[in-house]
Amino acid sequence: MSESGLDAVGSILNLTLGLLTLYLVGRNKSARWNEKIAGLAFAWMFIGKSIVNMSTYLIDSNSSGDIDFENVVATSTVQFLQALVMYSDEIFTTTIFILCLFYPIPLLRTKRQIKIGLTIIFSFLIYRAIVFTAFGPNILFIPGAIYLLPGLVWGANYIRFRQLEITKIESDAKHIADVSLICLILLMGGIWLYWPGMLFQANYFYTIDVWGASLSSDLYDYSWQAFYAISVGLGVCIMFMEIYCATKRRISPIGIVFLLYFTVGFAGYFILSKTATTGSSLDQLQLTWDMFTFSVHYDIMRPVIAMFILLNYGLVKAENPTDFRIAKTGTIVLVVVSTSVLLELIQYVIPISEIISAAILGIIIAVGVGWEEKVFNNLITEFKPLNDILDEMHFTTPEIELDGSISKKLNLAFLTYIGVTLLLAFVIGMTDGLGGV
Amino acid sequence: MTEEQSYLSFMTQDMESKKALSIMISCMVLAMAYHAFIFWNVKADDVMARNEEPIWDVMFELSENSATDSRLIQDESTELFSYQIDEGASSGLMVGYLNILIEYDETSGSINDPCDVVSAEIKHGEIIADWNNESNVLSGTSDDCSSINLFLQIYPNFDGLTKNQPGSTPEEVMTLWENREFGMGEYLLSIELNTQEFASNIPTQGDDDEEVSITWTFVRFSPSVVEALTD
Repeated sequence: MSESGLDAVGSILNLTLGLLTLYLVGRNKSARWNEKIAGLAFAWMFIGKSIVNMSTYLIDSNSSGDIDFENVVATSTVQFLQALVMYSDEIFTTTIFILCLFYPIPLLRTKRQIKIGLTIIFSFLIYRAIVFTAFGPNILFIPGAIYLLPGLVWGANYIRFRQLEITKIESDAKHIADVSLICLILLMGGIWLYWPGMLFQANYFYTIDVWGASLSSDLYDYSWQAFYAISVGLGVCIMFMEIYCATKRRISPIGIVFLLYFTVGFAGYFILSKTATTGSSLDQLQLTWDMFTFSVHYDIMRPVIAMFILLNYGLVKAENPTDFRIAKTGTIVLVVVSTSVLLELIQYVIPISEIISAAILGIIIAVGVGWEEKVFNNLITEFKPLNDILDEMHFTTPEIELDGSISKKLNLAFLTYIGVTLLLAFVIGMTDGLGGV
Repeated sequence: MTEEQSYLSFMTQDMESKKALSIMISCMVLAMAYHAFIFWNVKADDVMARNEEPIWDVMFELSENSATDSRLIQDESTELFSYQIDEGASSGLMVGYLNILIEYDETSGSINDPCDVVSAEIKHGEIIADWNNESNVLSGTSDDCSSINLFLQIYPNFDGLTKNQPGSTPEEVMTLWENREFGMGEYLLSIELNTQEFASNIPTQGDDDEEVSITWTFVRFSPSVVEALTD
């Protein structure tokens, strides 16, 4: 399996999870208002990423010659897909902004604040879409901005609640810190795999070029990297905090996952810093490493982390047997697809025959029957109601009666955005909109 | 504490929390400042050159193989000469180009008997080669006993001289010069002979055949890549 194959799998996985989440969040009557909004944000995050992954897969397939777009005017089709990648990635940006403002702690605490907050977020989405349509990848787009606000909010949540846990022995505070950290891993995990590259001045970090030289300026690439650097700075701060917690014997499983990302990033430095001068000059070992870490994070770990948050912290609740079955099916699909993809990746490096890898997958599933049900039951029932924990910390989540139309309005806003951007991407493709940039 | 308490006041309600958050924000700002300094100063050259592909010198170690063949060809007949190259026999070398030298003489021994007419043509067979190359000389004729030189460019762009080529990695550049499919298979050369006799009323002893000799010369190569020196 190649990196583009991973995109295709990620796309199907994200779409399935997005639709399932949309359905289950809609049916969750016991979720608090901020959890409901967060659940919807996760659902649209999945759907947006599904479009991004599929478009990336098609672009890569075209450049590798697997799919030939020649008969449908190659340039326009590739540009259509490139524009679609950018527009759909903005869905992810928007959902991350919504998430950090509502979950796990609602920053917006009155109806008025919520209206203003959401208006600003969607205005920013429209602004960026307009800038991209008019100028292509341009500094006015504020590339990388996605990392600043969530980094500040979730980073502050994490630091504050870890501190409360340690200094004031408020043991439940760790759950808020954990959710904040896992949200940060979801957003910044890929960057944290590159952290030594930034500190030790490796080319593989400083020559990151999101769009390629023909499309983006030095300033544009600098902006992306600057926000990556901010994420690395935050990661280093969290690393010291987790090491400090470990010395106090208070390290959490999420903290271990975080440290694992940092350790893999450190190991990657010795592989990626060898020869790379540009993104395209990675040798076979470096490409394989990148696929096993960077791509696996973006295409496999992100859906897994998001599903974990949804199930473990009660954003999705299975309140009747049908919902329970649907939620369980989604989880099993996620676990089985992720496992089989990992096996495929191993097969890519160690060429074992397909029959053997199919047999290994079969054995894993056979042994895992029953086990996955236990894990799922734990996930879905033993979640910590975060708002109750906040109440205990004397930071009560306000009761806000949002009428049911908020879900419909959010869904409609995202659907409209997808429809309009499909049209814009088509126009960009037909008018060679990215060609002259 | 009340519901009206803002997020900011909760996060900064004691000195310890203020200190912790200050450290976190300082880490972020420091990282950004450090990155800016490295990006625009220390690594500025690498950053500017990040999308320029390095230039590589591709050098060739040449190896020339020749084989000769000769046959007696009857008047007004065509003979087919063949030469086989397979991967096993090519010792891992690529086949660059082929020169064919066709030589003959007038052997009748008669005074004033003119040279015969020899026509040669490389047949477009199964060989993968640069058949449309402008330098190719795929056919030729001689009627004055001069030799005929035929040429077939087999590996595209190969002329034995060092090449400057852009590429992300030496491996990427090498793949352009390591295609062993070029030149493998059976080469076919057809040669037609037409004898000529001296036009005179005096009876002479003409000939009705001629011996033609063929020299196949294959230039093969083994490529190597080194990064080109820049000023």
